Amino acid sequence: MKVTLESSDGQVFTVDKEVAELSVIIKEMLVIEQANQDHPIPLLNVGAVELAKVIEYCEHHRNDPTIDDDEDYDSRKKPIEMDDWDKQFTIVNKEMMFELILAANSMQVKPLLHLGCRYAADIVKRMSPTEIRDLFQIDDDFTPEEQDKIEWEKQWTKL
Amino acid sequence: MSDPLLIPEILRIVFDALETSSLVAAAVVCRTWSRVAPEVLWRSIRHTQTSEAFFALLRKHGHHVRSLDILLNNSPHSPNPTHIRLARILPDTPRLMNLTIGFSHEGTQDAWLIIFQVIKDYLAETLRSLALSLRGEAELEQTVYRFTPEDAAAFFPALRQLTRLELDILPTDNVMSTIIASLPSLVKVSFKEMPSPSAIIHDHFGDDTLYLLGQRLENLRDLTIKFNQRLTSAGFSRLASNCKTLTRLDLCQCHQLNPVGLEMLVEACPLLSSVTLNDSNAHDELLHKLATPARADGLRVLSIRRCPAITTAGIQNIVQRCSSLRELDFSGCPRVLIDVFTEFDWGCMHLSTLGFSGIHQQTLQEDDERPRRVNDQDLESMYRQLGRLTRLEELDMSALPFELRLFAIGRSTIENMRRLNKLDITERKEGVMDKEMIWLATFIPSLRTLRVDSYGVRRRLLGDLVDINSLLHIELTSSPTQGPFTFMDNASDAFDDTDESDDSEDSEYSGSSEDSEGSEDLEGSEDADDSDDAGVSEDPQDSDDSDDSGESEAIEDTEDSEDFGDSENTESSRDSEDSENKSTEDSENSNESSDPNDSADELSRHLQGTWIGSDSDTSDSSEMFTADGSDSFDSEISDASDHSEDSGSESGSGMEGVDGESGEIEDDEESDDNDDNGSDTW
Repeated sequence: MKVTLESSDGQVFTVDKEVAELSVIIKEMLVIEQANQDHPIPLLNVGAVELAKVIEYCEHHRNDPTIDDDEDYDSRKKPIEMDDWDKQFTIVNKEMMFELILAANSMQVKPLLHLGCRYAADIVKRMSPTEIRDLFQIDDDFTPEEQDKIEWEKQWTKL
Repeated sequence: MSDPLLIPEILRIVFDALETSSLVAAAVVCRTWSRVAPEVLWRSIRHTQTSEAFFALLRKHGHHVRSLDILLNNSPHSPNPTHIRLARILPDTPRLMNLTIGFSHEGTQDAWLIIFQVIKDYLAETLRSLALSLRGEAELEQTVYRFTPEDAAAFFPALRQLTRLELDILPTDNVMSTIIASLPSLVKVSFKEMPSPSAIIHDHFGDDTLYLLGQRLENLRDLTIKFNQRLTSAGFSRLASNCKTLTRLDLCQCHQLNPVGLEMLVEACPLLSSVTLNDSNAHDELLHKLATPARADGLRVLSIRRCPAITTAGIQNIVQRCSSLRELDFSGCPRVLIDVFTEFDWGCMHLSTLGFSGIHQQTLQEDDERPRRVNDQDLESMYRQLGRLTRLEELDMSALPFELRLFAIGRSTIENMRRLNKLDITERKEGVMDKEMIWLATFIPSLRTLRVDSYGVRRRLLGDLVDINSLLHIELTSSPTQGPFTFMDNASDAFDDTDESDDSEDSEYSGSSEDSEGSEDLEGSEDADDSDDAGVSEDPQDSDDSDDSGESEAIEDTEDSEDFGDSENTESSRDSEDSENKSTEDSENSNESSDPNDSADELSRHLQGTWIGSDSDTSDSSEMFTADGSDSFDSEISDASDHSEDSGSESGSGMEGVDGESGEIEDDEESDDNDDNGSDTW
């Protein structure tokens, strides 16, 4: 069965239902709008370029088992598996990957979200706070008092 | 465009993938990050320091804490003992589900009682998992928290939510019956005792209690019992009649269990996916039962270290038929020969962990032939077989009685192991060569832990290897001939003996290697592994290490020099890059030593691993820390810089560096060694 998706800039994509259902949001929408499947499902936060990429990802991973969202699950111990295809897939620039993370987050495509976040984590790894701020253009918005407190804490956070 | 890295729910996932040192840095980037990072940072805490200030912070972030693994390491008689500090903060950890407490001092019965009271009063509703472990001195002094029946009756019934209970003692029948009656929803139980002179064997719970356990704990899936000398096959056959749902079974060193009893138990539990029977009487027939068509697919983990009855045929059964197997360890099974690799294709293609150290030994069994000399064809077959296991992450091929010829024959095989994370090639027949180390560091980027004999390894090389693969941690094991352990000579006899003295002698190996699995981030514990290994090196074939090394090196030197032209070039170019980076960093540091961010950076880098410490710029950073006034780290940083001086000045005989480094933790591990020595009494 096919499902049509419409990106924020009006482009329409037709995909297999099981592919689209990797997105938790679409899966839920399909349950609600069972009768009304002629209209494309609007994705207001996702542009055509990103949507195409998300669909490409979902096509490849259509048969994967789902990630269980167990609270006990400590993902720090068990990083997600990345196959060669995934590695190829993540060879994009930072801006594109961040758009993909946002898209995956708004569509709730969990494995893609985790893949993107791992990409981000790999960038952040071993960087100093200053380097991180510079790279991602994040403002240092601490007050001097907060700064002192954090500084003190950090010294003891040797886990 | 909104920034994904300012959305907390996304940040949480990103931070999940960061290791501690990066999280510490992330926590000071901005307000949003500083709110999210502690959630992840404090969620699961292991191997902490136990300073006053740390406990204060732990209390502050107590509401994030789900898992806490803490070692109470100062004496209960000291002015401000850590168990009192712990007892004070536990009321502030309302979401604590998993608690592991280690004690390393003897005479702490009172300390336990205080902790029990707090757990009972504040954590009864949340606690799912409780592990009380003994380390160091406490491990020897088994009476440390031997529950009285009254203590048990006051404590266990309160823990209504508990599903996992792990104790480093074997409770008495009386205490066991309290546990079983009060906690019927237990899913996992583990009762381990270390073989020690003070163990009171007749106090171990017996067959009747085991029966009760099987009957009352309907949800039991995971059972671990170590060194219980009272349980017999009769008890296990009765357990088997009730415990058909067991999925994980670990019975190490329960010497009264005969092969038939084990077989019966395994046969009665069709859902078993993980079977650990180290130092047991397991034999081939049992493996045959596990490899029947109905069950073969279900087996995920099999560990049968040092089982003298297991032979090549038994292992072949497993590796051919158990296609879902993930972990297999038949290290120290002397009657398993290299033929296990040569005759058939293995079917367990999903294997991620494989250990076969110390196989192919001369045994005393009369019907056994002397193992044949391993030739190049055997090695080729072995590497071909290993090469098919593309998912291997951990490989232990230490202590083998033949030359590995890792580079000469195994090269392409090893290079194709894209996921290889940990490689153990200690106690080698041939010496370790520089180019081999460089090769491993260069061509296996996934490698994180490499264990090699320290003999002949130049300390300066280790610094270079850090530049090639900065994530690689190299564990040096002192060669048995240089260590303080002298029972090498008769080891070849003792090794195959089936009597208990040998089993318990070996036992520390399994015990301590299990411990080390759980100690990723702690520098000390990694070092402890080293000292640990010195005690384990009783494998016979190492005495002639030094003889062979020169020879094999000479053979391979010629062919390798050209192969390595490339990698050495890249290495040196990286080297210079790095030193540039370092110098800029250094100048930054000295200019802005008041800037907190850079000290965070330093801290992170310090946290990254032991070998980072041998970087040339650590001494600078130590000065910086002193100037900063953060005295807590002074000692550690200066340790690290001392260490780097060591490696600089005496690159030839760098052994002392290793020893000094591990000295801190050796107190704990000493008990293991003592155990080894004392175990002769068994």
